[in-house]
Amino acid sequence: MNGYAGRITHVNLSSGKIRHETFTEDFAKKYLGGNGFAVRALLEEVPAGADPLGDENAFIICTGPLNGTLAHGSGRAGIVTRSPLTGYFMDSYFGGDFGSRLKQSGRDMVVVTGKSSRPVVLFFDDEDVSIIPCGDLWGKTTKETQDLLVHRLGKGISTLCCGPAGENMVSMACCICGTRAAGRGGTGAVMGSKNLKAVSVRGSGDIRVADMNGLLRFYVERKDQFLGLKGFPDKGTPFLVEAINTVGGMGTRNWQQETWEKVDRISAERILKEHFVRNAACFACNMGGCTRVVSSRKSSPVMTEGPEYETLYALGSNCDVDDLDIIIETDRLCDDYGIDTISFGSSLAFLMECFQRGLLSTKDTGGLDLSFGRGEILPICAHLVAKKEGFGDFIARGVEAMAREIAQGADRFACHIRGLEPPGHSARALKTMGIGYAVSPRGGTHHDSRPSLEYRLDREKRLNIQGKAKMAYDTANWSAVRDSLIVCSFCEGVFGFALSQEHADQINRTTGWDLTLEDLVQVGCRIHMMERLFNCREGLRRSDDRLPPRFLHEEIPSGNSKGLRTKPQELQQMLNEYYELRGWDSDGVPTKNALSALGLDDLML
Amino acid sequence: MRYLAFDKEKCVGCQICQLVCSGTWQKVFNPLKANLRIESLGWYGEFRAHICRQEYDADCVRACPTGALYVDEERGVVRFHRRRCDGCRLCMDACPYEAIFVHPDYEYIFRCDLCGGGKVQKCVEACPRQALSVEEVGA
Repeated sequence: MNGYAGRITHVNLSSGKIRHETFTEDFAKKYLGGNGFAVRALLEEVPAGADPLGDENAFIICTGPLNGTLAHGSGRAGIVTRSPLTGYFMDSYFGGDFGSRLKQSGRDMVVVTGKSSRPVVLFFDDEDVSIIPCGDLWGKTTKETQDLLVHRLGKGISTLCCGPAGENMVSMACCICGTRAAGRGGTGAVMGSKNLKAVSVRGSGDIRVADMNGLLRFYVERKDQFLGLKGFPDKGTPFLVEAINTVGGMGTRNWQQETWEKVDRISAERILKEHFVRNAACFACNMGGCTRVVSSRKSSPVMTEGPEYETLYALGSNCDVDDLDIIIETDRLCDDYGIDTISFGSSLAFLMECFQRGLLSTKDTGGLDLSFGRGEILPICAHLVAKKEGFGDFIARGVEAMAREIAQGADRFACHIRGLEPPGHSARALKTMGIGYAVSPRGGTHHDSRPSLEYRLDREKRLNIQGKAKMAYDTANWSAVRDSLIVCSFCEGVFGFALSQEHADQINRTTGWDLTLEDLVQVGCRIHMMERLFNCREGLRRSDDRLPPRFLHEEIPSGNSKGLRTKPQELQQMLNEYYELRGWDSDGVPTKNALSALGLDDLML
Repeated sequence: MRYLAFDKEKCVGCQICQLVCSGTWQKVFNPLKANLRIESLGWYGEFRAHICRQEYDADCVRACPTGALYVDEERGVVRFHRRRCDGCRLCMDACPYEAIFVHPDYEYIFRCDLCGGGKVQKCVEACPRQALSVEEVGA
């Protein structure tokens, strides 16, 4: 089947059983791949109420029909699981060559269930699958783990692994491949809970496509458009620091403000001028690499790839830390330990506000002074969180759990959506993100509904909620298809911020099908419906589709979005509109008719 | 003679050159079936290219016992006659640039011949960072 390996591998780590499953072209057209394949598998494999860190949860690694090809931004793969941080559906995607290698090894997706009795590496050596004991790797950083596995398994492998944070089941632990992270929702903790230290793959097979000449021509024709995109090819995501701060929507001091007076201290210009080493790219990145290798300027310089915009917001403006050397070093530490920088930075920002308000003092934190702006505590806390040592054990739980324990009204400024701390895109300055976060299957993510379109609107158009539920719906459908193909979000600048015929054309050139734009919208809706169904099966209802109180009740106090918030009644109105578009009832549960229209009758609650 | 030159300062390791090459000549996407290879030298973005230098007195041509590798003076490149190759790999041992490759699917070797010595090189056209270019040197 063009674009696909045509096989899914299931591995049960409890029994050691391995089985292979094939799928039909009709199945591929219906669920597309990646996100679509994996949410279907998650619904089938994981029983309702399963402990996210227990044997019954599944850890799914997926690829889509464009991975391994020359398609723009296709050097990606995804992880799908039930999140230990939110308790709901979670998918997180990462760049690099892992997806291509996995498909070249002859499988589109791997579904890992059960739990190994000892630390293991799962190795896909083309056809062969082996579960290799690796007690000596336990406790190693993600970088050490990957280096040791090259030494052990040979050159030409690609490895996805968890770090010490994942081993210790830190709820904000991520998975790392190369220097790229599948950051959100505790995927690393799920690996750790299964005693699965790493998944390595060597793939030498072919990726076949229907129209090779057409794809090669298309790639070259569109290349210059990508290279001409504003910001990304030269500065990478840090160019957003200044842009979003100017809009007035960059979380500052735990979202007490959304404009930061010290923004110049962490700007893209400053990174390029003082820390830049070289550009770097994901596999098959047509933008010539939007990421950068940078170095801190200490006597023993630390190198890292990044930090990306989200890290600059989370560790920088949100913690009021303007020291780039510390941000770079903490970014690298988080990668080595396997910690999500967004959740980590946001958790510290929340604690800093607790300090500011006198809800916590050094007596509660084991002597740590968590005042805003104290950059020196970032690396200290990364060490403590990864090992769950001292106060790190508390930070490792994330904002929602910490606010519950601290009580004293801390939930009023606890910024999370269903347990997932938001990225640096405002739910007050952008109404699309207001509704988008509330209904996101993942919670606080900018990768379901997308902020990109609304950033282009002026303040007057951002003020009102008209059309915002539809914008959240359209961009979320694109996200679901994007994560099923699997391609990079940054293709948006060329192919559009919602699904377009160009997306269908790329799939058709690859597969030989004749999908229409309407077919793709259906696929996007189908995937969202399944994710919602998974969450509703875990008890999610309308009352859970909410925003942090700060975003609903406090106006942005300064900057170009001064006075904006997403009022509770606005959110309710947008929820009504969104539910109607999706075919969910007034309590947010998918209706029988809507499921049926998407061919999902077998998945009724 | 001409050869494909590599600028390691510009390369970002995306391997698009390998994808385009395998797609063009093997009609599949497979970086391991490309006529050139970009090797990552470490963690933070340093790369080495394995690309034939098209030398007229190349060790591989001398090492080839079947005459499969030969100098095409008209086009200014070293070329390869697939049917004459018996897969002995002596050329691989002789190549100082590690620029001759094999794949389990094939009995013959593959290597860069500047797209048959033609005027357009697909990898040069596709590279987003202009890290590849065709250089001319005296014979």
